[in-house]
Amino acid sequence: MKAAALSLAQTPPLSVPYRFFLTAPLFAVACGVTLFWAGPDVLSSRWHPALLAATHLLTLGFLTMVMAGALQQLTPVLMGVQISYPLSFSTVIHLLLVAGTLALTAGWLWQKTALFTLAGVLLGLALTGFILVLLVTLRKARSGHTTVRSTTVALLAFAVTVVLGVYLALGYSWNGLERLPGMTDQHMTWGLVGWVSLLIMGVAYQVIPMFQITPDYPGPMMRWLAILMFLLLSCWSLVQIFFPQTIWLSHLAGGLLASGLVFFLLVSMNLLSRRRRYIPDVTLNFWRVSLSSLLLVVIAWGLSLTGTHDQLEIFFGVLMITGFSMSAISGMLYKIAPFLIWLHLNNYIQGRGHTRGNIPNMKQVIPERHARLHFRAHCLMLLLFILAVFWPDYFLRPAALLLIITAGILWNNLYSGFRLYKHIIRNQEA
Amino acid sequence: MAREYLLDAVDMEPPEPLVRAMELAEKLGKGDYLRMRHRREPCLLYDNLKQQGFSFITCTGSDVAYDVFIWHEGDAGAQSSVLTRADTLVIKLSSVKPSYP
Repeated sequence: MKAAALSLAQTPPLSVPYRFFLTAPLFAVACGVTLFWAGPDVLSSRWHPALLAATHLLTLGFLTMVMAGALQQLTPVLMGVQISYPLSFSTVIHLLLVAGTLALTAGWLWQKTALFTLAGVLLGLALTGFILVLLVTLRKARSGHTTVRSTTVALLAFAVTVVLGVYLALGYSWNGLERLPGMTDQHMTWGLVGWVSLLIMGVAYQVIPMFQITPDYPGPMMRWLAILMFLLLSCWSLVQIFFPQTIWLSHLAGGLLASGLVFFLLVSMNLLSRRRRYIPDVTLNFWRVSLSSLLLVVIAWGLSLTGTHDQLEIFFGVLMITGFSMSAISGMLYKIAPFLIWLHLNNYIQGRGHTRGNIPNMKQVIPERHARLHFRAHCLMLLLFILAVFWPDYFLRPAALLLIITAGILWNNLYSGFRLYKHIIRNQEA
Repeated sequence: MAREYLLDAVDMEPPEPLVRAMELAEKLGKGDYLRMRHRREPCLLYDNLKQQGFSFITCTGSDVAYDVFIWHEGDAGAQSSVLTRADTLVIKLSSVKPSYP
């Protein structure tokens, strides 16, 4: 793998990604509060309004929030292309995404149709704007760069998710919009298997070999897997729409998609077992939990083919969102956030004509023991959520409480890194 | 007598290779150069080196993915030693015009 040409001048201000990073845990806290307030009944059906609100607080408020922030930084740093007016762009997208997510979840919690219209408009503007600008920017990147490919494909999957999501949101308030059968499943699958999984895969191609000191992912896999998964997802979608009665065709497309995910997790597990440095690392632990959850997701999906099991669908959602996605993203944050703080401090010191200032190393930006505390809380939270799927009366509220604590620790860890950055800048200027 | 300092960054996690390379580069004497072995191209290092007055060439073709040679800008002796040393390698990127001795 080759990194694109990189210049210090191309790095956008730290506030561009960091505002997203610091906002994301707050939405996870809001999710925990919603679940705690709604109580065990929330898991009685996947259509429970509070569960839909909680799900979107995590998928939009946490996962998309971090991924949107990270992409605005990774585009120049890894792919060598810069978004025009990065600060204004990130400010507008951040505000619209925050307001839109709040409006959407408030719509479900208070059953106000006008809020769905507001959410549809705000999220539609935020996310189409984000996707279009990123796609135009990525066209300027060196073609053939594997991360450019997988990010482009993930963004296209996100575009399908957003179109379906905005249509569904507007459908709550406009009677004229007919809700087609299976549309929610399409929205969920394009979001979780398309947008979230493909982007995690694309970023993993870069960050696992770079930070875990492993061999690179196989070249053909980096070039083709994301595209193949996108095509399979499109086939699955078309089968659902045009041949809803042909169950075997739908299972075949789903099975091939699941095989793509299993292939990714097996290669990743194999690479992680071949890392060159055997030192404890919290990001490695997060990756292991993430990939193990992905394996359980595929098994749960396989079991769900035997019939309709509401519990299994919720189990699938819990593992996919909190197990696979949140674990991978939390782990990556413990590399990306300290690295960005170090990078910006280094740029600042260089810009002032100094050689080496007192720049903290990555482990000093966010101490390992603080990240490890987060990891332990995260594992306990995940375990409690899995138990809550089957015994909600006993485990839902403890799980919700753990989610609040976990997100609080993450926020504190990210903020302490940012505080250190501000402190050093202030001292340099004094 | 030119001295080669070796930094094996193959097993290092970012940004350690950059930090160590800059620390060692600052200690180079007249005629000395630093050779950094790395498993990936250290793109972030280049601007740092330019800003601090160092020349460099990045080569491929040895037993490691990238060899980066670093010396003080204008140090003709070090430059000549580096170009001789890198003679059997493929120069991928250079901050100086490659004029072989």
